[in-house]
Amino acid sequence: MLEAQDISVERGRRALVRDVSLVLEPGQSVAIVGPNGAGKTTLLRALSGEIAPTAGKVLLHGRELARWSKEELARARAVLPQSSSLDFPFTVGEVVLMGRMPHGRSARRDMEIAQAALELVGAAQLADRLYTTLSGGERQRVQLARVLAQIWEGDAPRYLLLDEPTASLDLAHQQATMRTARRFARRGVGVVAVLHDLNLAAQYADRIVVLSDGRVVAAGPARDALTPDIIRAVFGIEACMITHPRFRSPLIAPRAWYDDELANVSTGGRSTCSTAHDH
Amino acid sequence: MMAEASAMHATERLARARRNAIILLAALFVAVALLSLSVGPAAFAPHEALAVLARRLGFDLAVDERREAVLLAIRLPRVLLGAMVGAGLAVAGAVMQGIFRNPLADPGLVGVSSGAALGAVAAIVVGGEMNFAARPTSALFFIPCAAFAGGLITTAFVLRFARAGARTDAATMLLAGIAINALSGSAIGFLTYIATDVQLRDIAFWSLGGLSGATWTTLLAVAPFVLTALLLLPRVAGGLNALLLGEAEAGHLGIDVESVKRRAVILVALSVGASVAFTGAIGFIGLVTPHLLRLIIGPDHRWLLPGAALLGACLLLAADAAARTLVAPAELPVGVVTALIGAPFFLWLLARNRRRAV
Repeated sequence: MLEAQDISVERGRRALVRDVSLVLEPGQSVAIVGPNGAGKTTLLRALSGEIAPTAGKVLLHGRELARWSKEELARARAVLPQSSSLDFPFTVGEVVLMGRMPHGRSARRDMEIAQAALELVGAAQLADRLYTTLSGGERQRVQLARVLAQIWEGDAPRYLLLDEPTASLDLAHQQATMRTARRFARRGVGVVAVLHDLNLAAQYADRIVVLSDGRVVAAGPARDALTPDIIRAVFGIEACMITHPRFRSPLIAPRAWYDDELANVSTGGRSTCSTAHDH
Repeated sequence: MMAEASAMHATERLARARRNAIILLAALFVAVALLSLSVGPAAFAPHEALAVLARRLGFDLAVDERREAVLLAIRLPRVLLGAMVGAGLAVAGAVMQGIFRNPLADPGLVGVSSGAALGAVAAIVVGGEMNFAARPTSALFFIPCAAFAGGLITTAFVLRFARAGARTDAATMLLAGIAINALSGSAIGFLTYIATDVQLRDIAFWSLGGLSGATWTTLLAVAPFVLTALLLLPRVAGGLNALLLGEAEAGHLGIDVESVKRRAVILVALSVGASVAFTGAIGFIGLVTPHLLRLIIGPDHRWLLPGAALLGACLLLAADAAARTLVAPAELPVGVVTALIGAPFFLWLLARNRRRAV
């Protein structure tokens, strides 16, 4: 279990994260959503052990992160950063193999895992390309393969921390990435992802944590955590939650705002949502 | 299954190619070293040079004793010093480029070289009466030691300056290096201004760089620094690879980033400081060597570092051999030759990088 207990992160006098508690069980997937500057990435960095919280503590398997050795920690959790700046001409295979650095058991096994991880993210055909020649989306998938390879197998529960894993991907690859993460969760890996797309979060996460101004304002299944009231309070937009007509998953439909309509909306904004819902 | 087995083919092939490249470089090094032993005002046939070495090792071969003395007292220490300085500079360049995650970085950027230069010039000017050109024993040690101290102090300062909290920020470190370079430059300018004519000539001579002063004594003074650095640098190779992904990413992979960077920088300061101290400023070996090598064997430091040591030694020995023969019987400072080849290479590199970016 990866657990944050009342953690705060302060930078100078500003609190980026305040009194956040969060529990991630193995096999579970949690999405962190919230507006820009809400502290999502900071929270993820605290959960990964990259930064130490100024108050509270983060526990992995009941032991504080600071008391794990870096290598032990690297075998228990992997982190996909928002964007990676790798300007050296490694082959894609070499980049993915770097995910095996904390293990260093058998080169043959590492090679098999790197290969399987590349296949899982649908990038096996890139294996021999130079990383520097890839497009942004391809790079993102290769980095995902690298972090998957890092926690591919192990005796203890493992965790996957993703910071906006779908940021530079097209629609198909967004879905594919989330499906991969979900599949990893099914294999017993705890997954926590920072996401901007509320619908991706609603579709793929067991639980959603809504962050605003460093605080958790809502947490739970999508239907409880992404209500129109919460979305209005946090993002300042009108939206309603409808059920996907075929897949039964919750869908968040933001209302488009046009300047000439502003007057109308300010008086009758909420009714548009309930109307949509009734239909 | 076939597709699975062959998909990582190039990655595996690359590993084989690297092994071969290292073996080839080692062979090239032996050849260049032998060539470098042979050419010069007193020319030797390679087999004659080999015969002298073999005799030293106990083989009973007939050689001219006067020529043997030239080879052993002058040529051999020069070649060994050149190999060590070349290897040290090249490995230092490769490591710096790794730490800064910038293929254009160079040990000179961090201020080691200019700090060392300041130390040397201060020693020449403040040392006053000691005539560098005449090389009394005191000056032989005094000036290089001052250069080494200067290099170490500036590196320690830049490192400390760039530390914010528990981390070292590469950008701050680079900018601090630029400031140090400017500061050292102005201090050297001032010292040059107050220097006497004799001191001026010593400064000019020192700053051009050269291996001509190599003796077994200088070799003995340089060897511990450079060899320690060379032996220890491969131990940070894995960490440097991870560092190329980014500092946070390396940390997530279980690498102690701060310790890797600290060790790498101190070792670089050791090899660059000691090299600059005893041979003056020899430019571009640290920049050019890792680049040439990356084109052949890729950026993996586990291969790049030993490869850079071998190729750096080859390049400097070749440049020194050229410096000795081009204007014989006089000789050019080796720094002139390396800059002549290195600077256009650097410009070509810049142009290529710009084209790529577009």
